Amino acid sequence: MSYSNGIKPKRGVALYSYLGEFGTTMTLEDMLADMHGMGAEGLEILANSHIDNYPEPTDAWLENWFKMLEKYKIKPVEYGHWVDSRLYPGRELSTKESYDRLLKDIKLANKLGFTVMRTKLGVIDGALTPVKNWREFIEMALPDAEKYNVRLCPEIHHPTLLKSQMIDNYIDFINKTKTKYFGLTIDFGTMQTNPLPSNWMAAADSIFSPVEDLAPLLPYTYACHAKFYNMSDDFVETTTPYDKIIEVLLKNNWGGYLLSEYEGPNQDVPGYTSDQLRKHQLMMKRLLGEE
Amino acid sequence: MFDNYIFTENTFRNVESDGKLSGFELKTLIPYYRGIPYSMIHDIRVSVDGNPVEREKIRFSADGEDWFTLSEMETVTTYKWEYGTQGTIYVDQPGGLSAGKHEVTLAVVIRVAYIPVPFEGVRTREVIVNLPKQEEITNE
Repeated sequence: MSYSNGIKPKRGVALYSYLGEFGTTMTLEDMLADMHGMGAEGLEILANSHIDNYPEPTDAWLENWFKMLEKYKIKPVEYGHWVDSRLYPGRELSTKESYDRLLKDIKLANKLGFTVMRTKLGVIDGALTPVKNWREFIEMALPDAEKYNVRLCPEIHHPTLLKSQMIDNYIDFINKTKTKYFGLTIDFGTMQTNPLPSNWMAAADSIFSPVEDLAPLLPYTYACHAKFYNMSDDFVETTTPYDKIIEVLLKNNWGGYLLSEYEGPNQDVPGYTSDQLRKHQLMMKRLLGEE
Repeated sequence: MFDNYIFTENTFRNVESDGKLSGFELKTLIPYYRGIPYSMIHDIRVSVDGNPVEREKIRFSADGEDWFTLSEMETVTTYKWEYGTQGTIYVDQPGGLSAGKHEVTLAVVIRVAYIPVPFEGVRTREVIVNLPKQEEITNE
Protein backbone atom coordinates (compact mmCIF):
# COMPACT_ATOMS: atom_id res chain seq x y z
CA MET A 1 0.00 0.00 0.00
CA SER A 2 1.54 3.34 -0.91
CA TYR A 3 0.26 6.83 -1.45
CA SER A 4 1.87 9.75 -3.29
CA ASN A 5 4.78 11.34 -1.45
CA GLY A 6 5.79 8.61 0.95
CA ILE A 7 4.83 10.56 4.08
CA LYS A 8 3.12 8.23 6.49
CA PRO A 9 2.42 7.76 10.17
CA LYS A 10 5.22 6.70 12.47
CA ARG A 11 4.84 4.43 15.49
CA GLY A 12 5.33 4.99 19.17
CA VAL A 13 4.02 4.17 22.63
CA ALA A 14 2.26 6.19 25.30
CA LEU A 15 3.80 5.22 28.65
CA TYR A 16 0.39 5.68 30.26
CA SER A 17 -0.20 2.13 28.99
CA TYR A 18 2.09 0.77 31.72
CA LEU A 19 0.25 2.42 34.60
CA GLY A 20 -0.35 -0.90 36.35
CA GLU A 21 3.35 -1.71 36.40
CA PHE A 22 5.24 1.58 36.52
CA GLY A 23 6.58 2.16 40.01
CA THR A 24 6.00 -1.41 41.13
CA THR A 25 7.28 -3.96 38.61
CA MET A 26 8.78 -1.57 36.02
CA THR A 27 10.99 1.52 36.05
CA LEU A 28 11.17 4.25 33.42
CA GLU A 29 14.15 2.52 31.91
CA ASP A 30 12.32 -0.83 31.80
CA MET A 31 9.52 0.78 29.81
CA LEU A 32 11.91 2.39 27.33
CA ALA A 33 13.78 -0.89 26.92
CA ASP A 34 10.47 -2.65 26.33
CA MET A 35 9.55 -0.11 23.65
CA HIS A 36 12.88 -0.63 21.97
CA GLY A 37 12.31 -4.37 22.05
CA MET A 38 9.05 -4.00 20.15
CA GLY A 39 10.51 -1.60 17.59
CA ALA A 40 8.55 1.45 18.73
CA GLU A 41 10.41 4.72 18.35
CA GLY A 42 8.13 7.58 19.42
CA LEU A 43 7.54 8.26 23.09
CA GLU A 44 4.81 9.89 25.06
CA ILE A 45 5.41 10.45 28.76
CA LEU A 46 3.18 11.86 31.46
CA ALA A 47 5.32 14.60 32.92
CA ASN A 48 3.78 14.45 36.38
CA SER A 49 4.24 10.67 36.60
CA HIS A 50 7.46 9.88 34.81
CA ILE A 51 9.77 12.81 35.64
CA ASP A 52 11.25 12.50 39.10
CA ASN A 53 10.91 15.72 41.02
CA TYR A 54 8.65 17.22 38.32
CA PRO A 55 8.73 20.04 37.27
CA GLU A 56 12.33 20.43 38.36
CA PRO A 57 14.26 17.29 37.47
CA THR A 58 17.82 17.11 38.75
CA ASP A 59 20.85 17.32 36.48
CA ALA A 60 21.53 13.65 37.18
CA TRP A 61 18.01 12.74 36.06
CA LEU A 62 18.39 14.78 32.88
CA GLU A 63 21.73 13.21 32.07
CA ASN A 64 20.25 9.76 32.49
CA TRP A 65 17.22 10.73 30.38
CA PHE A 66 19.33 11.55 27.33
CA LYS A 67 21.52 8.52 27.90
CA MET A 68 18.43 6.27 27.87
CA LEU A 69 16.99 7.91 24.74
CA GLU A 70 20.21 7.19 22.93
CA LYS A 71 20.63 3.69 24.27
CA TYR A 72 17.11 2.60 23.30
CA LYS A 73 16.83 4.75 20.16
CA ILE A 74 13.76 6.56 21.47
CA LYS A 75 12.46 9.82 20.07
CA PRO A 76 10.62 12.08 22.50
CA VAL A 77 7.35 12.93 20.76
CA GLU A 78 4.59 13.97 23.10
CA TYR A 79 4.80 15.43 26.58
CA GLY A 80 1.61 14.77 28.54
CA HIS A 81 0.72 17.41 31.09
CA TRP A 82 -2.24 19.10 32.73
CA VAL A 83 -3.40 22.60 33.36
CA ASP A 84 -4.61 21.81 36.86
CA SER A 85 -7.53 24.21 36.93
CA ARG A 86 -8.78 22.71 40.19
CA LEU A 87 -5.55 23.17 42.11
CA TYR A 88 -7.45 24.95 44.86
CA PRO A 89 -10.87 23.91 46.13
CA GLY A 90 -13.67 26.36 45.44
CA ARG A 91 -12.15 28.29 42.55
CA GLU A 92 -10.56 27.77 39.16
CA LEU A 93 -7.06 28.93 38.31
CA SER A 94 -6.89 32.44 36.89
CA THR A 95 -5.60 33.03 33.38
CA LYS A 96 -2.24 34.21 34.73
CA GLU A 97 -1.92 31.20 37.05
CA SER A 98 -2.77 28.84 34.18
CA TYR A 99 -0.26 30.55 31.89
CA ASP A 100 2.51 30.37 34.49
CA ARG A 101 2.06 26.62 34.86
CA LEU A 102 1.82 26.16 31.12
CA LEU A 103 5.06 28.05 30.59
CA LYS A 104 6.90 25.80 33.06
CA ASP A 105 5.74 22.77 31.10
CA ILE A 106 6.61 24.32 27.73
CA LYS A 107 10.18 24.92 28.89
CA LEU A 108 10.55 21.47 30.41
CA ALA A 109 9.06 19.72 27.35
CA ASN A 110 11.57 21.53 25.16
CA LYS A 111 14.43 20.72 27.49
CA LEU A 112 13.60 17.01 27.26
CA GLY A 113 13.36 17.10 23.47
CA PHE A 114 9.59 16.97 22.96
CA THR A 115 7.88 18.86 20.14
CA VAL A 116 4.22 18.08 20.88
CA MET A 117 2.46 18.61 24.18
CA ARG A 118 -0.74 16.86 25.15
CA THR A 119 -2.15 19.80 27.01
CA LYS A 120 -4.96 18.50 29.16
CA LEU A 121 -7.25 21.42 29.85
CA GLY A 122 -9.48 21.57 32.89
CA VAL A 123 -13.09 20.80 32.04
CA ILE A 124 -16.31 22.08 33.49
CA ASP A 125 -18.86 19.40 32.58
CA GLY A 126 -19.43 15.77 31.61
CA ALA A 127 -19.19 16.62 27.90
CA LEU A 128 -15.58 17.70 28.69
CA THR A 129 -16.14 21.36 27.77
CA PRO A 130 -12.88 23.16 28.61
CA VAL A 131 -12.60 25.91 31.21
CA LYS A 132 -13.95 29.28 30.07
CA ASN A 133 -10.57 31.06 29.94
CA TRP A 134 -8.72 28.48 27.79
CA ARG A 135 -8.40 30.84 24.82
CA GLU A 136 -6.85 33.54 26.98
CA PHE A 137 -4.08 31.48 28.54
CA ILE A 138 -3.35 29.49 25.38
CA GLU A 139 -3.03 32.70 23.40
CA MET A 140 -0.68 34.11 26.03
CA ALA A 141 1.47 30.98 25.68
CA LEU A 142 1.61 30.83 21.87
CA PRO A 143 4.75 33.00 21.52
CA ASP A 144 6.45 30.76 24.10
CA ALA A 145 5.33 27.63 22.29
CA GLU A 146 6.85 29.01 19.10
CA LYS A 147 10.06 30.03 20.85
CA TYR A 148 10.44 26.56 22.41
CA ASN A 149 9.14 24.74 19.32
CA VAL A 150 6.28 22.80 20.91
CA ARG A 151 2.67 22.38 19.75
CA LEU A 152 0.02 22.58 22.45
CA CYS A 153 -2.58 19.93 21.71
CA PRO A 154 -5.65 19.27 23.82
CA GLU A 155 -6.66 15.64 23.69
CA ILE A 156 -9.87 14.82 21.84
CA HIS A 157 -11.15 11.94 23.88
CA HIS A 158 -14.38 9.97 24.16
CA PRO A 159 -17.16 11.10 24.85
CA THR A 160 -16.21 14.13 22.74
CA LEU A 161 -17.28 13.68 19.12
CA LEU A 162 -14.96 14.52 16.24
CA LYS A 163 -17.76 16.66 14.79
CA SER A 164 -18.78 18.87 17.67
CA GLN A 165 -18.94 22.41 18.94
CA MET A 166 -15.78 21.84 20.98
CA ILE A 167 -13.76 20.90 17.90
CA ASP A 168 -15.26 23.83 15.98
CA ASN A 169 -14.15 26.14 18.77
CA TYR A 170 -10.58 24.81 18.65
CA ILE A 171 -10.42 25.13 14.88
CA ASP A 172 -11.90 28.65 14.96
CA PHE A 173 -9.18 29.56 17.43
CA ILE A 174 -6.47 28.13 15.15
CA ASN A 175 -7.87 29.97 12.14
CA LYS A 176 -8.21 33.25 14.00
CA THR A 177 -4.73 33.17 15.52
CA LYS A 178 -3.22 31.51 12.40
CA THR A 179 -1.03 29.56 14.79
CA LYS A 180 0.94 26.43 14.01
CA TYR A 181 1.61 25.94 17.71
CA PHE A 182 -1.83 24.85 18.85
CA GLY A 183 -3.60 21.78 17.49
CA LEU A 184 -5.16 18.48 18.43
CA THR A 185 -4.19 15.09 19.78
CA ILE A 186 -6.86 12.65 18.68
CA ASP A 187 -7.61 9.60 20.76
CA PHE A 188 -8.90 6.69 18.67
CA GLY A 189 -11.27 5.72 21.47
CA THR A 190 -13.53 8.35 19.88
CA MET A 191 -14.07 5.98 16.93
CA GLN A 192 -14.77 2.75 18.78
CA THR A 193 -17.26 0.47 16.98
CA ASN A 194 -17.32 -2.77 18.96
CA PRO A 195 -17.85 -3.49 22.66
CA LEU A 196 -14.96 -3.45 25.08
CA PRO A 197 -13.75 -6.71 26.64
CA SER A 198 -16.43 -7.96 29.03
CA ASN A 199 -16.47 -6.49 32.53
CA TRP A 200 -14.22 -3.67 31.43
CA MET A 201 -15.49 -0.10 31.85
CA ALA A 202 -18.76 -0.86 30.10
CA ALA A 203 -19.82 2.22 28.17
CA ALA A 204 -23.43 1.29 27.54
CA ASP A 205 -25.21 4.08 25.69
CA SER A 206 -22.15 5.85 24.33
CA ILE A 207 -22.00 7.58 20.98
CA PHE A 208 -18.85 7.42 18.87
CA SER A 209 -17.66 9.15 15.72
CA PRO A 210 -17.49 7.56 12.28
CA VAL A 211 -13.98 7.26 10.84
CA GLU A 212 -15.00 9.63 8.03
CA ASP A 213 -15.00 12.49 10.54
CA LEU A 214 -11.26 12.10 11.11
CA ALA A 215 -9.87 13.33 7.77
CA PRO A 216 -10.96 17.00 8.05
CA LEU A 217 -9.15 17.25 11.41
CA LEU A 218 -5.82 15.85 10.25
CA PRO A 219 -4.32 19.19 9.14
CA TYR A 220 -4.64 20.31 12.78
CA THR A 221 -3.54 17.03 14.34
CA TYR A 222 0.04 16.68 15.58
CA ALA A 223 -0.20 13.30 17.33
CA CYS A 224 -2.70 10.48 17.81
CA HIS A 225 -3.34 8.29 20.78
CA ALA A 226 -3.75 4.89 19.19
CA LYS A 227 -6.06 3.83 22.01
CA PHE A 228 -6.81 0.14 22.22
CA TYR A 229 -8.43 -2.27 24.62
CA ASN A 230 -7.93 -5.74 23.26
CA MET A 231 -5.52 -7.33 20.78
CA SER A 232 -6.61 -10.80 19.75
CA ASP A 233 -4.12 -13.64 19.34
CA ASP A 234 -4.29 -13.14 15.59
CA PHE A 235 -3.19 -9.51 15.91
CA VAL A 236 -6.51 -7.74 15.44
CA GLU A 237 -7.78 -5.00 17.72
CA THR A 238 -11.35 -5.98 18.50
CA THR A 239 -12.96 -2.65 19.48
CA THR A 240 -11.78 -0.02 17.00
CA PRO A 241 -11.59 -0.12 13.15
CA TYR A 242 -7.82 0.31 12.86
CA ASP A 243 -7.77 -0.80 9.21
CA LYS A 244 -10.11 2.03 8.23
CA ILE A 245 -8.42 4.61 10.46
CA ILE A 246 -4.94 3.90 9.14
CA GLU A 247 -6.26 3.90 5.57
CA VAL A 248 -7.53 7.46 6.16
CA LEU A 249 -4.17 8.52 7.64
CA LEU A 250 -2.28 7.08 4.67
CA LYS A 251 -4.63 8.61 2.10
CA ASN A 252 -4.16 12.00 3.70
CA ASN A 253 -0.38 11.72 3.96
CA TRP A 254 -0.52 12.29 7.69
CA GLY A 255 3.02 11.98 9.02
CA GLY A 256 2.66 12.24 12.78
CA TYR A 257 3.09 9.61 15.45
CA LEU A 258 0.60 6.91 16.38
CA LEU A 259 1.18 6.35 20.07
CA SER A 260 -0.12 2.97 21.17
CA GLU A 261 -2.13 3.48 24.32
CA TYR A 262 -3.38 0.35 26.04
CA GLU A 263 -6.36 0.87 28.32
CA GLY A 264 -7.73 -2.64 28.60
CA PRO A 265 -7.89 -5.17 31.41
CA ASN A 266 -5.04 -6.82 33.34
CA GLN A 267 -2.74 -3.80 33.36
CA ASP A 268 -1.43 -4.93 36.73
CA VAL A 269 -0.58 -8.44 35.52
CA PRO A 270 3.17 -8.32 34.87
CA GLY A 271 3.93 -8.58 31.16
CA TYR A 272 0.32 -8.35 30.00
CA THR A 273 0.48 -4.73 28.83
CA SER A 274 3.82 -5.32 27.14
CA ASP A 275 2.37 -8.25 25.22
CA GLN A 276 -0.67 -6.21 24.17
CA LEU A 277 1.54 -3.34 23.03
CA ARG A 278 3.76 -5.69 21.06
CA LYS A 279 0.77 -7.12 19.21
CA HIS A 280 -0.60 -3.64 18.60
CA GLN A 281 2.68 -2.44 17.14
CA LEU A 282 2.81 -5.46 14.84
CA MET A 283 -0.74 -4.76 13.68
CA MET A 284 0.09 -1.13 12.95
CA LYS A 285 3.25 -2.15 11.13
CA ARG A 286 1.20 -4.39 8.87
CA LEU A 287 -1.52 -1.79 8.26
CA LEU A 288 1.10 0.86 7.51
CA GLY A 289 2.69 -1.43 4.96
CA GLU A 290 6.08 -1.50 6.67
CA GLU A 291 8.43 -4.34 5.84
CA MET B 1 -11.00 2.20 38.99
CA PHE B 2 -8.48 3.12 41.69
CA ASP B 3 -9.75 1.09 44.64
CA ASN B 4 -6.76 -1.26 44.35
CA TYR B 5 -4.40 1.60 45.14
CA ILE B 6 -6.06 2.28 48.47
CA PHE B 7 -5.09 1.11 51.96
CA THR B 8 -1.87 -0.85 51.51
CA GLU B 9 -1.92 -4.26 53.14
CA ASN B 10 -0.24 -4.64 56.55
CA THR B 11 0.22 -0.91 57.06
CA PHE B 12 -2.22 -0.31 59.89
CA ARG B 13 -0.60 0.38 63.24
CA ASN B 14 -1.26 2.13 66.51
CA VAL B 15 1.12 5.03 67.01
CA GLU B 16 2.98 5.69 70.24
CA SER B 17 4.29 9.05 71.30
CA ASP B 18 5.79 9.93 74.69
CA GLY B 19 5.15 6.38 75.87
CA LYS B 20 1.43 6.55 75.16
CA LEU B 21 -0.71 5.52 72.25
CA SER B 22 -1.75 8.73 70.56
CA GLY B 23 -3.63 7.41 67.58
CA PHE B 24 -3.32 5.11 64.60
CA GLU B 25 -2.04 5.30 61.05
CA LEU B 26 -2.37 3.52 57.74
CA LYS B 27 -0.73 3.89 54.37
CA THR B 28 -2.06 4.21 50.85
CA LEU B 29 -1.01 4.90 47.29
CA ILE B 30 -2.51 7.80 45.39
CA PRO B 31 -5.74 6.89 43.53
CA TYR B 32 -4.42 8.40 40.28
CA TYR B 33 -1.64 7.73 37.77
CA ARG B 34 0.39 10.87 38.46
CA GLY B 35 1.62 12.91 41.39
CA ILE B 36 -0.26 15.94 42.74
CA PRO B 37 0.24 18.80 45.18
CA TYR B 38 -1.55 18.23 48.50
CA SER B 39 -4.10 20.94 47.65
CA MET B 40 -5.67 18.55 45.13
CA ILE B 41 -6.42 15.99 47.84
CA HIS B 42 -10.12 16.67 47.97
CA ASP B 43 -11.01 14.48 50.91
CA ILE B 44 -9.82 11.63 53.10
CA ARG B 45 -12.36 9.63 55.06
CA VAL B 46 -11.67 6.95 57.61
CA SER B 47 -14.22 4.86 59.42
CA VAL B 48 -13.77 2.22 62.06
CA ASP B 49 -16.42 -0.49 62.41
CA GLY B 50 -18.80 1.70 60.42
CA ASN B 51 -18.26 4.82 62.54
CA PRO B 52 -16.76 7.74 60.63
CA VAL B 53 -13.74 9.45 62.16
CA GLU B 54 -14.18 13.21 62.60
CA ARG B 55 -12.57 15.17 59.78
CA GLU B 56 -10.53 17.29 62.20
CA LYS B 57 -8.77 14.19 63.58
CA ILE B 58 -7.25 13.24 60.24
CA ARG B 59 -3.71 14.23 59.21
CA PHE B 60 -1.83 13.44 56.02
CA SER B 61 1.83 13.26 55.07
CA ALA B 62 3.54 11.84 51.99
CA ASP B 63 7.04 12.21 53.45
CA GLY B 64 6.22 11.16 57.01
CA GLU B 65 7.74 14.38 58.34
CA ASP B 66 5.37 17.27 57.84
CA TRP B 67 1.71 16.68 58.60
CA PHE B 68 -1.38 18.60 57.53
CA THR B 69 -5.07 18.51 58.35
CA LEU B 70 -7.57 18.37 55.50
CA SER B 71 -8.39 22.06 55.94
CA GLU B 72 -4.73 23.01 55.95
CA MET B 73 -4.04 21.05 52.79
CA GLU B 74 -6.40 23.24 50.76
CA THR B 75 -3.60 25.77 50.25
CA VAL B 76 -0.59 23.44 50.23
CA THR B 77 0.89 23.40 46.73
CA THR B 78 4.61 22.98 47.39
CA TYR B 79 4.38 19.59 49.10
CA LYS B 80 3.64 16.82 46.65
CA TRP B 81 2.30 13.33 46.86
CA GLU B 82 4.12 11.50 44.07
CA TYR B 83 2.80 8.56 42.15
CA GLY B 84 3.97 5.30 43.72
CA THR B 85 4.73 6.91 47.10
CA GLN B 86 3.06 5.45 50.19
CA GLY B 87 1.25 8.36 51.81
CA THR B 88 0.46 8.07 55.52
CA ILE B 89 -2.88 8.89 57.06
CA TYR B 90 -2.81 9.48 60.78
CA VAL B 91 -5.86 9.59 63.01
CA ASP B 92 -5.52 11.44 66.27
CA GLN B 93 -7.16 9.13 68.80
CA PRO B 94 -5.62 8.85 72.29
CA GLY B 95 -5.31 5.18 73.23
CA GLY B 96 -5.18 4.14 69.59
CA LEU B 97 -7.49 1.48 68.29
CA SER B 98 -8.60 -1.02 70.93
CA ALA B 99 -7.42 -4.62 70.97
CA GLY B 100 -9.36 -7.02 68.80
CA LYS B 101 -10.75 -7.21 65.32
CA HIS B 102 -11.90 -4.06 63.50
CA GLU B 103 -13.14 -3.15 60.08
CA VAL B 104 -11.29 -0.08 58.88
CA THR B 105 -12.42 1.73 55.73
CA LEU B 106 -10.32 4.30 53.95
CA ALA B 107 -11.49 6.58 51.15
CA VAL B 108 -9.16 8.96 49.32
CA VAL B 109 -10.64 11.51 46.94
CA ILE B 110 -8.57 13.49 44.44
CA ARG B 111 -9.75 16.59 42.63
CA VAL B 112 -8.64 16.42 38.99
CA ALA B 113 -8.88 19.05 36.31
CA TYR B 114 -10.21 17.09 33.40
CA ILE B 115 -13.12 15.19 34.92
CA PRO B 116 -15.91 17.13 36.62
CA VAL B 117 -16.32 14.60 39.44
CA PRO B 118 -13.42 13.93 41.81
CA PHE B 119 -11.69 10.52 41.64
CA GLU B 120 -12.36 8.33 44.62
CA GLY B 121 -10.76 5.12 45.79
CA VAL B 122 -12.16 3.15 48.73
CA ARG B 123 -11.12 -0.02 50.49
CA THR B 124 -12.08 -1.79 53.70
CA ARG B 125 -9.69 -4.10 55.48
CA GLU B 126 -10.05 -6.20 58.55
CA VAL B 127 -7.49 -5.17 61.10
CA ILE B 128 -6.53 -7.17 64.18
CA VAL B 129 -4.99 -5.16 67.00
CA ASN B 130 -3.01 -6.91 69.72
CA LEU B 131 -2.20 -4.76 72.72
CA PRO B 132 0.15 -3.75 74.13
CA LYS B 133 2.46 -5.10 71.48
CA GLN B 134 1.31 -3.58 68.21
CA GLU B 135 0.83 -6.43 65.87
CA GLU B 136 -1.77 -6.74 63.26
CA ILE B 137 -2.89 -8.97 60.53
CA THR B 138 -4.93 -7.55 57.74
CA ASN B 139 -7.17 -9.22 55.30
CA GLU B 140 -9.06 -7.68 52.51
